[in-house]
Amino acid sequence: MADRVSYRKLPGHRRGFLRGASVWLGPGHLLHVRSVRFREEYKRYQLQDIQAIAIARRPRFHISTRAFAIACVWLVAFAMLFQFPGATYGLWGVAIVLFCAWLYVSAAESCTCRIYTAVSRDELPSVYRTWVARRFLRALESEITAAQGGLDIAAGDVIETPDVGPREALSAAPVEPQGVPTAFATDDTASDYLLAATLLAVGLWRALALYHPLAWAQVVSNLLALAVLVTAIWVLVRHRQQKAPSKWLAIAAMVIIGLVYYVRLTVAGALAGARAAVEKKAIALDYSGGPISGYIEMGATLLLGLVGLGILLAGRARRQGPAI
Amino acid sequence: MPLPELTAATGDWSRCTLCGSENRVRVFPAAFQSATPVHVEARLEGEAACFDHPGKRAVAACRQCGRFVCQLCSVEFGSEIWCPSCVASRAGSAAQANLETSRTLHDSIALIVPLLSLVIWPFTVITGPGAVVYSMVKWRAPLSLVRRNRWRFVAAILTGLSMVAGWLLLIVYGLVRARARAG
Repeated sequence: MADRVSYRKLPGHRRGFLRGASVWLGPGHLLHVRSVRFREEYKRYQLQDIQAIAIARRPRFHISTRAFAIACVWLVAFAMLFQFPGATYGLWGVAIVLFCAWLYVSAAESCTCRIYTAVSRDELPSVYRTWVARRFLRALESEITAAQGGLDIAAGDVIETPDVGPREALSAAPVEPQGVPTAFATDDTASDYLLAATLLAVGLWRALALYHPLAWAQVVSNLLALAVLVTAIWVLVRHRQQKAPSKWLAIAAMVIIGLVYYVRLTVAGALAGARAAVEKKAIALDYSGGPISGYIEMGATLLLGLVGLGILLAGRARRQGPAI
Repeated sequence: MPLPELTAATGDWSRCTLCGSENRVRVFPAAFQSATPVHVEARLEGEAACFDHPGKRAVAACRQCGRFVCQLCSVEFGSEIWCPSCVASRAGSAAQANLETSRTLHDSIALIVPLLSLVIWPFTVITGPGAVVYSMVKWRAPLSLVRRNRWRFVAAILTGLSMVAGWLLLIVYGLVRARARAG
């Protein structure tokens, strides 16, 4: 069976929340694995076809799932040691050191790695730190040399390199293949405008309700949030087979609205339960979540609404083309 | 893409002579091989013809099905020559050359969906048993090309079973309490 091919992992692994990448060495070829959450895509490079590997220093501010896990551990430690001032100072110190280290590594010790063959020029996202790139090259160089033989050049010689990579890159800018949707390939629809409008409406209504409390503000707010969810579903259905940025906006809107309402209910329930236990009497549940929840909802929805407007305006400007 | 003039490998980073950026480039012999275009010769009288292109001269026979192939149709698999249809149907040892370009990770779906549903825990009434059933149905489905074990399926089944057990305990507790109140 095909699965009998055994692969050895090469240094480097990009671990993102949705996307990941790694490079594996198989018999006579490299296997580049790109994962998009529940799907893996593979690309193979025969060792005898690899013309060059180029690594260029470049800042890469990537937050990996490991970094996120470290942040979560820090948060848990902070929550547990909140009562002890000495410990919290130490934790803040640790946080600052970790953040500075991440900043330094991202800015000064990061790179991009490209692999060239006669017909392709691809980036390997898994190799994005310089020390990983060094190990990656060391591991791969011997394998490629074994497949192709070595270059007969002495160190320090100046050589004129031939053109590497695909030929078309020399003569013309890359042509987007027909039929492949691009970020702004789709026309805006009524659903896109409605999504941006409802998001802005939720944000503005929240702002109004925060500064001028009204008895029925929560009801209107809930109805508007429901409208956002319905519109977001409409956007997702409308753009289901397209690569439209408003699709991501719809997903973000659904996540934000869901989180705000779920967290609000959970926190309100927990607080009411705790108060009822302390005071030993029934406490009415306050579903509004208080001003903090209101500020979060206002900020998030206004931000998303503005992003939606930006997407619509950018799409329109792009379709109209440059002014002559 | 043209690479700038390079100083032969001395070990570490060097500056690009064009833009000044720091780069490390390893060039391999394949870069110096000029690509030779495939010349498909026309068939002369009495010569064998390609199965798919009757006007072209055959240069080899497919190792799998024996069809004659011209230069254009011959596909090299290691030291053997194959015809495009045998490669497409993945006959014989062509199956060894894994041509898959993507796979769905059913084991990750089985594990992550029930874990994510813990955020909105009432959904676990569906995702718990769902994870167990999905893991059992997809147990034999191909895994990732590079990850070979099924620990995610095992973890998904255990997670799903513990969710089911939790719900059963909750229901039993509710029933017992309701009966105690009534009594």
